[in-house]
Amino acid sequence: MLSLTPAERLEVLQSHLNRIIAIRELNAAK
Amino acid sequence: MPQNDFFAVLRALRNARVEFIVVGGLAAVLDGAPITTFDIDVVHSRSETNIARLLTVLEALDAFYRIQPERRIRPAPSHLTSAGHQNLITRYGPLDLLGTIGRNLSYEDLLPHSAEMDVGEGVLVKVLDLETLIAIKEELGGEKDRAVLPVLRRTLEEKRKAR
Repeated sequence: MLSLTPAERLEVLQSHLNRIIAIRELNAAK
Repeated sequence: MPQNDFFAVLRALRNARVEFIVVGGLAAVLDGAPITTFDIDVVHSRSETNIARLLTVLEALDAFYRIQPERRIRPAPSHLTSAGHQNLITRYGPLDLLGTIGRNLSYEDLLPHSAEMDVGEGVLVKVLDLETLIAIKEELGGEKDRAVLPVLRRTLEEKRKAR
């Protein structure tokens, strides 16, 4: 993470979070 | 469930010229720590002008208290001028507005310990530095804060080495 710019770090976090939310939704639909 | 979009919230606050400092987990991430967080924590200036600007943005973001979302209670000026924590949900996810953090540290107290960062598209936001974030979590942090401290300390060490 240190080699990234703050904007890139935010993108990484957002993308990680989107994946978690997608998994949660998939599990909730089961 | 609202869509989660950190950037959208930060941009809305910045575009409305709200004075705030990003703290908490999101500050740690922007400072380079490899952790995950679900919400945005900010300490805002409690000046009259800033509260007025903040209320306008909160309305645009459809913000209300997330403790009883079905009641859709919106923050009032008196809530935002207090030192307390307002845990809100917006159309872009959770947003915690903190009057003070740690030992009653306000926006003005934290300002010298923050740095401006570009979070994308030239949007500049003030972010609390890792040293202060660690000091606050060490002093008053709960169990969750203490659990993340080793990662934050290691990130700070690496940043110092890289300087």
